[in-house]
Amino acid sequence: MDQLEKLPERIKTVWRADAVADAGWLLVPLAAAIYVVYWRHWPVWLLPLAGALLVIVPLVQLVLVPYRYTFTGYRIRPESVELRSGFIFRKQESIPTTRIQNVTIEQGPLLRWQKLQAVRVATASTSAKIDGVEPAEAERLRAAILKLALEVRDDR
Amino acid sequence: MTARHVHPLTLLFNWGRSLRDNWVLLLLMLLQTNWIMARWWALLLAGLYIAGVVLLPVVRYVTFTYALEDDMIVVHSGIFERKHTHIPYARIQTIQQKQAWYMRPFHLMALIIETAGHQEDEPEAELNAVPVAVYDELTAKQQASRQRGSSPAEEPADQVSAPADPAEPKHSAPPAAPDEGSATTPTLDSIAAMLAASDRPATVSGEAHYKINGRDLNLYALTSLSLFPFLIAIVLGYPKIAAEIPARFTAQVSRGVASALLILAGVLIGLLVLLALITYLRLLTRFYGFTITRTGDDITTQRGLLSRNTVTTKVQRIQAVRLSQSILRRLFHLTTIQALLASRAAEDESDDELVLLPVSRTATWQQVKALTGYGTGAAPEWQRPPRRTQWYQLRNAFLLSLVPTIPLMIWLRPWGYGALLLPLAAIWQGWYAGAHRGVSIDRQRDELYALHGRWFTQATLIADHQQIQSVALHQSIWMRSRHLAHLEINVRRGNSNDEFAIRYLPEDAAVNVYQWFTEEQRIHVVTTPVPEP
Repeated sequence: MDQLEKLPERIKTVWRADAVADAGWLLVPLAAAIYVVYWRHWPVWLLPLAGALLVIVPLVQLVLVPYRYTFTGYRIRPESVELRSGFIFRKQESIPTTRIQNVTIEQGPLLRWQKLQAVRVATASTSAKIDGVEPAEAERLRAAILKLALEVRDDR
Repeated sequence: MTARHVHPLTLLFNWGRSLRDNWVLLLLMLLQTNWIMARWWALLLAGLYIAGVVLLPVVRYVTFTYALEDDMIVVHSGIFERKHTHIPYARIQTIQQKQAWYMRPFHLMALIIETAGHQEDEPEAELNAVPVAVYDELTAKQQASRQRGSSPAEEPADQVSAPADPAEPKHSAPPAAPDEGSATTPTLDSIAAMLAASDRPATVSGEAHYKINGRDLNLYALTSLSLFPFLIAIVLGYPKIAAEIPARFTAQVSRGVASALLILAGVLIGLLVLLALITYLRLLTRFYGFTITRTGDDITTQRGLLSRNTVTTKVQRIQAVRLSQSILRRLFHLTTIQALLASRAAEDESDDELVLLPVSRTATWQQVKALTGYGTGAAPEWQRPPRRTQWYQLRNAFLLSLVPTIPLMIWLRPWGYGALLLPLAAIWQGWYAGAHRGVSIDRQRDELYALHGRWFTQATLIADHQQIQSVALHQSIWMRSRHLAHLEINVRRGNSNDEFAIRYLPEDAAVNVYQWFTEEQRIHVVTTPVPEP
């Protein structure tokens, strides 16, 4: 399998911010731990456990960001879109442009801040997402699909 | 153009259904009136019941109308929120005719029309009871609309008859599913395709007819794996209970307890036998008198004893063909041929496939070819992974089976040891899955054949390049050094996705499929296929 294009460097910042933001959910077990330890007199070690979870999970995600970056790739060509992710469990997927039903461009606050766009490509049965590309690249994909829809037919 | 109501007898059926669905309400009401003597309360309940169960179906009936227009069928429904569904004839994936036994004397049937739209659970149009003649009217309108070719959204595919020559393309338009939602813009190419299609003489390619015989039907119902749990429970359970209970209780407790338990066990076994019988009879009545007819591009299947079910679809609508054979049916050389469609065509919610042939004994591939145009009429030359890779699936199944087995053995001491059967079954299943794997590409026909085993059933997927939505390769870090990869093929099935995975293929075989799917240049302007002399 040959080399695919990498996501823009700035996606790392988005992923890091994401990791920290996601850790917000871990405040819930911490709050629960505080409650049961102080008011219900459960074992005290629950407290450091929940605290450690709050620190370790985002930390692991942060550490993994460079790896994730290295092993995530995509390729948008007139005839197909290809996506690759993962190192330990690697997945490479191919979607011919003629199968694409719609392209959704998503941009949350983090992506907006970094001026990137996530692209979701849906076929009649599956969908795949590119975490973030330059707006120009998203536009290129959109144009390629529109061009195909208007001009060429897959005739085999 | 005029909007019509469905047949008034629908009202009767609807009342029946309404009563059946709301019997709890009725019971509740009767109980309430007895216990609480307040009359206003009883009156309120009765009023609500009448409004909900008796009047609502009437309002529903009155507000539900349909019209067969020149290019589409329009369904109006809804009481407060009016809903108007427009279904162009060219977008219809399947038409299902259902005639329950009680409708037969009135020459009525239910018509269920589905498109490839992603609507959950609900068919796009469901006419509960209409005269049988409406179906003929519908097909006549559909035919007329197709011949006029007036609707620009119509695909030329409908005019192309499946070719007899295997080298020729099966379909000359994109698959049915992708055109859902997005309006296909008429282009020079599509017009060219349409012209090309109408120029071509109507080939007598698709003529096939099969009817199930009694013996095959019986075998099909008997070999259903859904009978198995009951049979196992009966065969294993009864002698054990019969031997255990008297021995355990005659000495310790009274004879009375033992005999009572024995009777209970007998009742239980009787119940199991009854359930097995019901399962068997259900399959028997469902596929009673199964016939399939292909005329040109139209495929029609008919089946059912009590409720006659007829499904009509087109060859072009088939997303993929699936052959399946359970370990039990393999003993009898029975294969089931199914078509994956972009709509729910089956009676049960869980069944997304249209059964083309419940039992195929011999010449399965020839039947596939005759019915669907897929394949060459002979089994493909499978590219089988080396035997050593079978071990990985066996290992995975075994390790997975330990997850429930070990806790069961630790915490449910005397009976938990029974869980030891689980790893044994898992090893068998892993071995079975590993032994049934293979891929094959027919580059000339642009078709992919894939084989895998799952739950003691081997399945073969036959898919056209155009109908495959996406292909993915999975490879863990450990598989990389051994040059193995999992191959995942996604095709549309019903309203969702069918993921067909072949595990632990040699990397080059998997990459080969991936590249066949991705790399090959297949985007070119439509060319008129030259009929060979």
